[in-house]
Amino acid sequence: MAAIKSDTIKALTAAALSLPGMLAKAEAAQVSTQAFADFQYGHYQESDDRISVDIYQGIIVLPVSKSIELQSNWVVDTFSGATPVLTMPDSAAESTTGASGINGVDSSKNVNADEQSVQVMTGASTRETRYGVDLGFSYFLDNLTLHASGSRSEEPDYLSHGYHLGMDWEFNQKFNTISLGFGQNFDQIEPTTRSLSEEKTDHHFQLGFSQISSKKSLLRLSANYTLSKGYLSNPYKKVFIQGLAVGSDLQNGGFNKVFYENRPDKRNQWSVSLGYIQYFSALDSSLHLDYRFFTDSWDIVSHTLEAVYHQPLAKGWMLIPRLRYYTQTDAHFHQNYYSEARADNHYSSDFRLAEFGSLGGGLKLTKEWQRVSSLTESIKLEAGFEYTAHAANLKLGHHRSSSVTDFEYVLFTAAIKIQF
Amino acid sequence: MLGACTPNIQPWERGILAKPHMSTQSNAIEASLRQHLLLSKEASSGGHNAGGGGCGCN
Repeated sequence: MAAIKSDTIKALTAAALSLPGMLAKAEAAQVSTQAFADFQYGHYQESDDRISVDIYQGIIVLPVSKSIELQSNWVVDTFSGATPVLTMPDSAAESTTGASGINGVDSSKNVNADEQSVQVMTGASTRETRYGVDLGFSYFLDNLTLHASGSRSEEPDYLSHGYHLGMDWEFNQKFNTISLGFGQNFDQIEPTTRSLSEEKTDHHFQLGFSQISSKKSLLRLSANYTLSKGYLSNPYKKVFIQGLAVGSDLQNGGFNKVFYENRPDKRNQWSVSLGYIQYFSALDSSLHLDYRFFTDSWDIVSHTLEAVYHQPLAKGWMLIPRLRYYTQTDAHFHQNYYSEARADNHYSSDFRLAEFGSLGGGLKLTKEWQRVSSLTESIKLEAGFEYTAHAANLKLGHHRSSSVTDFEYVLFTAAIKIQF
Repeated sequence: MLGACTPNIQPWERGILAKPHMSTQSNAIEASLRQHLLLSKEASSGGHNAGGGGCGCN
């Protein structure tokens, strides 16, 4: 009987929320009418004793009047483990000792363009922690919502400050929403192992459009543009270059023919995303499908496909399986190593700029309790697991990368969500 | 022109669209974690909920 009553209240609440002038959760201009607090723990682990990260996050949303809502997000990441620092021709590596790196470079060895590469890792690092906070507010008018937020992220070698301004405009009886956004980030990079102090600035622009396409489906389209300027290299990544002229700007990386990487100081990035959500009455379930196309001025092109299915079960339980496929081409200046110097002086062997694909899947289980106390509207617990393979041969179409940078990772998450 | 974008749905028929698992932003905290991890593993960025937030993603 209690379950029937609860379902009736839910149905009536849903119907009330959907009346004109009221707040409809289904629409992109999402408005929270209630205070809530979400806390999440995540554990990320890469294969072969590579990096692992523990992530603690919290989001608190507090409506302070009928038209103003405050939001605060915080995150603490602690990471440790070995990361790739260099790829180089196997024949020139005098001695590799697993995760502790190379002992020397055979400088007499003349390497060719298509030799077998070997990846050199950093030693297991000490634990490092990042602290991030984002504070913002939203101001609700009848069909217009304005957002503003400011953020700060700090770790021993990286400090970032940013802000974001946005608006959502609902029109056509709230069947449509247009969203606009603009933000900037100002970063300072001071690596712990080098005497270097650099800066980077990002400018983000967003345009979004959503459409209720039927009683059971939604469509949305988003476009993003980001301009990054300044120091865009990774201060810890190194490259093997044969034949680099004496007196080059590149800083030596501790071995003969090994230098710190050098990327262009400007990057334009564009992306377009298309999303579709479909409800299935027979199972009371929904399917979220998303596709993203991305390209940038470094000649990287990527495609992302993602499917997430939500299956409500009895008594507040829900099962959420997901699948994701990603494929990218490499940056025009990326190579595993360089058998000759480049005219533009841009070099990077970072695996993130290589061509590769990744395929991942996961499962999440959630359980929600309604009105467990006079203070809380609902409490939800979530637990999830995901596995992803990241490999050169998962790239769409022809690939020429070696498998030297292949790896796998798993992600565990657990969350508690309280609505007041 | 907007008429073409207006499906024949009465206000009281929007109940399904208001279900939590039909929301476009049903899990903000998970989306934030995923976005940050993927930014540090892949060369791409952007998406429906991109933008804002400072991160030392290098």
